[in-house]
Amino acid sequence: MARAAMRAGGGTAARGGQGRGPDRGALGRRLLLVYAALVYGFLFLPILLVMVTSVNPDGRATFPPPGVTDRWYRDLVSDDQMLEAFRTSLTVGAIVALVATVLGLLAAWGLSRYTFRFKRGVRALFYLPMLVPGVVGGISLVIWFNRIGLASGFWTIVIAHVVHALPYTLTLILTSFYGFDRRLEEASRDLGAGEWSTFRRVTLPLVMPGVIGGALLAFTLSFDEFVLTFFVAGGGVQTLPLVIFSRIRFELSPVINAAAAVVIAVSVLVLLSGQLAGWARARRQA
Amino acid sequence: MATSTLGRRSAGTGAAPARRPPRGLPGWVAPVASIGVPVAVLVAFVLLPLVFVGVYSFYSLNEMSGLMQTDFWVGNYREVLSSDIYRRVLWRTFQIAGAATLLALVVAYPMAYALGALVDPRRQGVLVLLVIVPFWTSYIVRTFSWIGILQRDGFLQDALGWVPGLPTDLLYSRAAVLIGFVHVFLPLMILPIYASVRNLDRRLLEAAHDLGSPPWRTFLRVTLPLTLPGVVAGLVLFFIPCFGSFVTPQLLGGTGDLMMGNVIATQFGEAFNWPLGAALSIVMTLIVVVGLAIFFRFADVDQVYG
Repeated sequence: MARAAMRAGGGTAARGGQGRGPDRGALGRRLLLVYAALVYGFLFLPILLVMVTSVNPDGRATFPPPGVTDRWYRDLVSDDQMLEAFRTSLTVGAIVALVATVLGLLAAWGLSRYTFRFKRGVRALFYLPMLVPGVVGGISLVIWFNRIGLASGFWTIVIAHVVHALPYTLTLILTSFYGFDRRLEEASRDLGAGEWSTFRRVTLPLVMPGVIGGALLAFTLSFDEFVLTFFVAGGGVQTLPLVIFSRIRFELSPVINAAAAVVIAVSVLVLLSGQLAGWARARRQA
Repeated sequence: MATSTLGRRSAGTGAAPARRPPRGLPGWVAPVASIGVPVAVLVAFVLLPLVFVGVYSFYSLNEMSGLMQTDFWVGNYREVLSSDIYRRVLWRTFQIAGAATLLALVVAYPMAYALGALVDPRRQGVLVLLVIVPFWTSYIVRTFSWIGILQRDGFLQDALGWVPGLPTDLLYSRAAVLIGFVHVFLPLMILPIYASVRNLDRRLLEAAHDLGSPPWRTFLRVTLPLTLPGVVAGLVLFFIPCFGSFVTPQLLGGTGDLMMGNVIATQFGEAFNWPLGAALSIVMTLIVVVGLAIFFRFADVDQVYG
């Protein structure tokens, strides 16, 4: 992927240099574009390296790798703690995607439709979780769950993740609410459709891209979340990032690379599929 | 909460009697449910928990039993502000987060400029997406990736060990923490600067050129001031997560480089001094709030997200 980025950067370097402004700065421009390609390398190489290392027989990031092995993946598949955590992460992610999307849909519907007192305050409240530092958010939930007597475990993780994902799903869904022609809903009502069937048969299909994008984003945010989970999980239930973190700290074994590669693959594939679906839809409509 | 409803009546048929559906729910149900339910969730699991961090920061620990006492005591704050240990941690956190932020600015600005000013606008979408893609991967994994690079006999040693004078054994050092921060949060710096570069009126640059201004002066007197909102936004957006970070110093830093997030975590995980941890969290939150105030005061928010 890094190589693709660099290729894209290189391609534009050639194009950007042509016929734009005085040629005196052409060299400077070219250098800047090369530099941009290097920054892409800086962003992508470490991630790529994890994937390469996950099949490196040395079990660590040696260069050049002496060969290819599936040994660490076989280790991963027989690692019960990792598998259990993977299952937990998928389950939590699916529930969080559902709940955060429903809440985001409700909030977007209300925010785009009504004016009311304290609307600015309500909007600020919706974005508050984005602004609170992870550590503070984590301990606030620890204190609160302790206070209301909710034992830490699966559901405290779900709650923390829903709150964490909600601002992002709301943003995506709200964008699609502001992006369509409101007169379609009016037409539906004028033709006799009730509130609910207008929502279900007109509004919902129109905002579907935002809803799907929001759900996918919520899933990956939950799947990757670490800091809040670290605080609210307690001892019993562990998500994949928690297990990876404790393995990094205490044994640093090669199986971590395989697990990390899986984590990368899951989130990138989920979000890329959403992005591609969005592009395909845009192309179909164009 | 929802007092009025807008956009109910279609504009074209204003004279016709509004056709209220005879069946269905009363009019207040939809607004109350749509805004009320998510608000209730956020009040219950964001706002109230934060309020109780404030409440707990005034509790104290019983000297004898180590149990928490629900009294009103400012001793936690006195300890945070007067004790050498916490003052040093606070200062170190500022130093590390500040240094990482400046480093990120230096790395990101030319990149954002190239992206926003030199690349064909039709290609910018894909290239911006490529800046965001690393953000899609787990924070833990991206931090972890640097361990294999920076550790002794790691990737850096193997690949670039022949370069004279290049330090390759960087893991568990301040440099490793800075590299980790710049890598993990760089998109937060690139994107707002990119947005302000893209909105730059290029005719101003041409005018400066035509009037004989050398490129460096054009940059200092035209480009930089006009992209300053993006720079301020980037600085704040980058600084805040660094300042609150707990994972990066834990995994990449040495034991002497722990930051405030680590100290707070310790109060909850090991020291079991929740009131002190709460007070430290309040201090951290106040600093973040000041940062955000700067952000909303100086950065052109619409431009950043436009």
